[in-house]
Amino acid sequence: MLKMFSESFKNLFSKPETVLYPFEPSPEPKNYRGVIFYNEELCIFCDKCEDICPPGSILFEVVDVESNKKEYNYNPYLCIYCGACVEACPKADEGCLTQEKDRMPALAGSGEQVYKNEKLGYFINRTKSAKNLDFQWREIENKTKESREKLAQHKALKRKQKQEALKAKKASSE
Amino acid sequence: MINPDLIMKEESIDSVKDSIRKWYNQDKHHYVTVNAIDNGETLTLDWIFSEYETKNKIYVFRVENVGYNTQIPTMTDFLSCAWVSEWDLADMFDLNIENAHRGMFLQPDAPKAPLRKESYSGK
Amino acid sequence: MANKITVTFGSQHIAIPEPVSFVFETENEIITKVDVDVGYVHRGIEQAAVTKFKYTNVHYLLARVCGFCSITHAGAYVHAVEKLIGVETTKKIDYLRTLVVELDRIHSHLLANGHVAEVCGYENLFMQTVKYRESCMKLLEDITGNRVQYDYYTIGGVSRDLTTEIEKSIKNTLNELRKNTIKLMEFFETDYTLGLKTRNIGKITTDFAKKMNCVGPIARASGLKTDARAEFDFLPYEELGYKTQLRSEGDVWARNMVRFDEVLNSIEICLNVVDGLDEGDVKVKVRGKPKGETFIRVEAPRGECFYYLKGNGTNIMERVRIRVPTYANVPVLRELFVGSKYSDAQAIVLSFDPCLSCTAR
Repeated sequence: MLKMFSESFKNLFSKPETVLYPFEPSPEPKNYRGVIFYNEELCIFCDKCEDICPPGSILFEVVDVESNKKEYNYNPYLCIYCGACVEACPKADEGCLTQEKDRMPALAGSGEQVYKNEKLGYFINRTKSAKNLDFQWREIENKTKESREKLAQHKALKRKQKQEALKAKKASSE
Repeated sequence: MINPDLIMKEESIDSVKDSIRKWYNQDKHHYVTVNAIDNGETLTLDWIFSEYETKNKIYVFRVENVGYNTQIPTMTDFLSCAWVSEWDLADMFDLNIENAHRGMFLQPDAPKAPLRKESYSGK
Repeated sequence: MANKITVTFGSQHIAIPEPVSFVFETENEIITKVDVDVGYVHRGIEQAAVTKFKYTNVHYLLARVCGFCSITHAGAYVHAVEKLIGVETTKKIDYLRTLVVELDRIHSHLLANGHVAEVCGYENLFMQTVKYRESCMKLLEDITGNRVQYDYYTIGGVSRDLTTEIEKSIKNTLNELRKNTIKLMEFFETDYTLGLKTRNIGKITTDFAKKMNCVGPIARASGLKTDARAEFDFLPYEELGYKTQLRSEGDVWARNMVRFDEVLNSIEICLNVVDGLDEGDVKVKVRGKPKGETFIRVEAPRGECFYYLKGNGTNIMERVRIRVPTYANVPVLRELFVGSKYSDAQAIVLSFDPCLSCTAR
């Protein structure tokens, strides 16, 4: 009992343990798992990050079926910051996908503005308003799904054409 | 089966209660849970036990081919802690377990039997 | 003649941060009948695990079953999947996993004990406990990159390695934490008023613990020797200096003391891990898909956590069954209230360290 009393007395005169956050900095630790940055030049479009992402916050939309060109869309407000995509990325060592220690600024209270950065992918950089961000993301999801189906159809068609060409070749040679 | 020290006993739904009652020794065996696995049209029920101070031992009393409407016996007469897991299964699979109360895990307006295959496979 | 009064405890109550509801029927101050509802935070995780997620990322979902035992849930799942695929992990991976699991146990136990002190009226002791716990949280943040959701387990390894800097800080922090824990233990052990609120309150005898199949610190405080760390092979605890901590009193106080004993033992395990760590990769290659069924028991901070997994050789698991420690301790909690005073109910609930988001899943 006495020990507890003396400890309480000591605590009366000791410094506070908490950080006065808005007035004093409270930096993230060195290896903090923050926002995911992407570098399109290094990407080989293997879709591994899209496959592994648990909440589905990385989506590759196929914009051109002929050349199989894809666009990287990332929703940092859906991301759970687990880092699985960076682990799955075969080019992560070269800096294709990296996990920075910064956090995304909160969406609430930012008004119409969204924090933009080239490395955040197409989705965030194309949004005009912070309102209905989840609705806009749903549109991207639908578009991606449709574009994937189109790509599959296009591929099937091409395969068919190839086979037919082969058949025609065989027939003509005979 | 991946567990090396697993002891599985196949039972029928009528005999399982008596054989667990006969086998169960309070000082030695630890009741883990009762589990149901949906195979499409029937269920497999597992009563799972472990043993105190023994490595890796797991006992399973397995009943195969249980229909969705079969009356399942309760173990609460001699395993007084079994009610939580029984009520849980009754909610999750909409099973007919003796004396089980509904609505502890699912609210009245929740979807019925969320863990049955038919409720999520879209058939 | 005694009047019967019905008192509700929860679903929101100032003592417990999570929603659980007890409806007590009391005669004067003595509780005579209890109704319990634990399903307020049911989120359908068992269904989501077999529908929306591939087996490669179910553990990120399961880690979000509960904030405290996030590492245990992810761990149990990963151990099970590795068994189904047939992955052999190296010594280094096992050691790193043990380190994070034990650090998680340390901070969870310290908070649980602090909570008991808080509901007994010792708010300052709670603050002090949380202050000491903070050093452990900082360590975990340094090692894994996040305070709560560690996401440290991956199938076939861990997500990152320790640097020498962190190793040094682990040693310093844990040595400091050991001193502080012993100091806290003294407060709990010697304080008279705290003793009045905790000693001989909510007593569970060994026989009763066996009858109700208690798990975790609650069972060990009653002298029932059960611990998945000793009874199931999932991490190399024996070579790291693990010892089962037992107390025989079975009251609120003994549950707190068992937790403190375990904190000290876990600190020792963590220091042994850092000393015994060798060089090498933190990942092994994984090939194949889970097929078959397996039963896994791991020790969460609150007790034994059980997983049943069934895979069918595709990307989606067939069945994931979770049985968490609080789920196993709810029956004994209900029985324990009958005959005790209403004023002790808070201390009894918190001495169980209930985790309702685990229980309802």
